Amino acid sequence: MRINPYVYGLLAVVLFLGVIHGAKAGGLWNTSHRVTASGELITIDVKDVDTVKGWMTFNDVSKAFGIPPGEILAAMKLPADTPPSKRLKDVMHANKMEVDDLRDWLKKRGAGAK
Amino acid sequence: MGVQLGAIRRRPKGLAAMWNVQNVRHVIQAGFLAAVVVMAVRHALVPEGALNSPPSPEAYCPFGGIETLYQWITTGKYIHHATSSSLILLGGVLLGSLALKSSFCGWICPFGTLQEALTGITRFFERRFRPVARFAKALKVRTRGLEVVDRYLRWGKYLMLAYFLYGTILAARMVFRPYDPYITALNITEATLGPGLVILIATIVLSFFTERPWCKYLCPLSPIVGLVGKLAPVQIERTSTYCKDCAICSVECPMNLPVATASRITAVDCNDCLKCVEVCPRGGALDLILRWPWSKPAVSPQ
Repeated sequence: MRINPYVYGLLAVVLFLGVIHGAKAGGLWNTSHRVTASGELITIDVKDVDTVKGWMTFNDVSKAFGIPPGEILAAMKLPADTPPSKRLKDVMHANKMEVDDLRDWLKKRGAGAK
Repeated sequence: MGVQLGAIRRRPKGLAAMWNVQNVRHVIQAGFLAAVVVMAVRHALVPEGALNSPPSPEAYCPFGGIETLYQWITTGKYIHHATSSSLILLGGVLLGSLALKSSFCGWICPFGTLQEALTGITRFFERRFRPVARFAKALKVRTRGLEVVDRYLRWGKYLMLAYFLYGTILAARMVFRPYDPYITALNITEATLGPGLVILIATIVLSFFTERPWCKYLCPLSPIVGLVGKLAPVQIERTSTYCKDCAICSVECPMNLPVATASRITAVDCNDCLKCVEVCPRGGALDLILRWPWSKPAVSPQ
């Protein structure tokens, strides 16, 4: 049976958008690193270093793991005058590093292994 | 479509010609590209921090779903930069491939659209300015010998897929991200000189000279879509009885597939743009057919 190319294109779009809207209707869709699909705020779990996100600040990390911000900055070889209220992502990227580097350091330091 | 089999198809004129399959496809592609661009601009302009700040457009990349799949299956968690939307989009792409072959690549993928648009600029100048047309023709003649290179380069996307899947599983992080030209384009305001930016610039430059260079040679999503699409009950088939071997389908194919000599287009590289089907001048010679992949192509009536 021949398929009309217009119908084919329409089906492609309907199928793709249908999956997205179906997931949204089912409460599965989440695009945020701040809240879960159910709307709960994501916070640092001291047992899991991977819960440290790029939008968090050095103050957030310091408070959660009990490490002074100055120690984190020094360990990451970041300028000592970096405001700890800045987002991790912004500071790390500006210094050609990734947030993963900080996570690795936290892991090495024993954070998250409690 | 009411066309006599084997007869020359009459081309629509006027307004009807405007709404040909390719133009409709371009409108759909432009819609998806515009949606992604709006998201990227909103993300760049609105400062992050608030709970309702616009999500990163990365959340709308199905390749993130592939990268996080192993982690999600084994630990129930997502790797960094991936969210549930990445997995859901991957599901949408795979379901689309299973039902309609590479419809995602040809009709939806915003990065494919960007490349097509750039090639379209070259085609526009070729049609209007004779020196540009002459240059393009000379370039085609001079690069004819590179067809062998092209054939080998196409294996690049399988290597990319294998390398990045292996790396992602080992490192549990998006190892492809620094190389991804699509993500670099979406985060262009934060881009620094690195492999992602170099690949993006190379893709943009090459797109002026060849169609969809990223899709042909390096896109790691393309083999997945193409291989899953082999199970789809939709096939592009050529009926040799009605075909007059004009080979215009092969000339028009953006992926340079030998459509004119195949009985069924089974190539992983086919992105189902349907240019070949639309350009074919003979009714019934080249069609999109609903048929299981394991069934034999229709026998041409003698």
